[in-house]
Amino acid sequence: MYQEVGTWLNGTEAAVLLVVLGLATIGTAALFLVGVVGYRRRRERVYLLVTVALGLLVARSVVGFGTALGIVPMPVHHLIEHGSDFAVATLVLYALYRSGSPSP
Amino acid sequence: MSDVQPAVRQHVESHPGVHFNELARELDIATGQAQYHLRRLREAGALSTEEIRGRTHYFTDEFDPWERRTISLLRRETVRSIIVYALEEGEPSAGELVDELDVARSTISWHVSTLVDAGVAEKCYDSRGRSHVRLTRPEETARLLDEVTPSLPDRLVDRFTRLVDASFSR
Repeated sequence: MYQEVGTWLNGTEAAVLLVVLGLATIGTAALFLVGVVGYRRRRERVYLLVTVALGLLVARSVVGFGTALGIVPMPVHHLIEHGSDFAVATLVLYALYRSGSPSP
Repeated sequence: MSDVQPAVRQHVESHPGVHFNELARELDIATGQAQYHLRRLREAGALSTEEIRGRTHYFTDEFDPWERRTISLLRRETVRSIIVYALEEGEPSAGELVDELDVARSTISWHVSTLVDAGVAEKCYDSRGRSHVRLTRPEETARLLDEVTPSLPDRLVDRFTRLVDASFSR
């Protein structure tokens, strides 16, 4: 893993990146798990939208590791990361849109 | 292997209404092993279960079905705060609960319908047609309050649903 990251980062930067990736994976996975349990309880569409958005955050971390391990090439990495940003924004905006105005 | 089963039974006895996941985590045993021992204990009549809104809670035989349902609900943070408020204030209206507990109306209505389904509370209406929540057995409910407190994962999921309800619900 270290050799792969080492081609575009120096030793310290690579170590920091891997630590950050690890923390991001743990954090987003925990949040996603909370979302899944919340959705299983409520079974409402808004919960599904939010949980899918949280799942995409986990996918970003996985793709990050994929690139660090040399499995996911850099152009594909950027395409997936920014594509998932768009998807997360769309999901949350749609959830907000369909929540409508408050009832009296 | 043989000392796991008494440990499972003892854990359920000291943690009435414990969830499956929590039990496996606390005793540090594998999922399959926990499943096996819980099934054996149930078959032997040493344990009983209560399923509320898709989650199974485990009990020893010291509680009747109503007590089991009440204890299960007291393990959930939001529903617990509704029960506590109803114990203190008598028969709060849905609007009062929304204001006092500072949660969305959809959060309140979901939890109140869970309470009604479990027979822990009932809905009644005032002269203006507003719905109020009345506990069916306030004294016994107050007594059971000390039996359990919600766990951290439970609190996190409850807070997540309150946040989503407050942010996205109509």
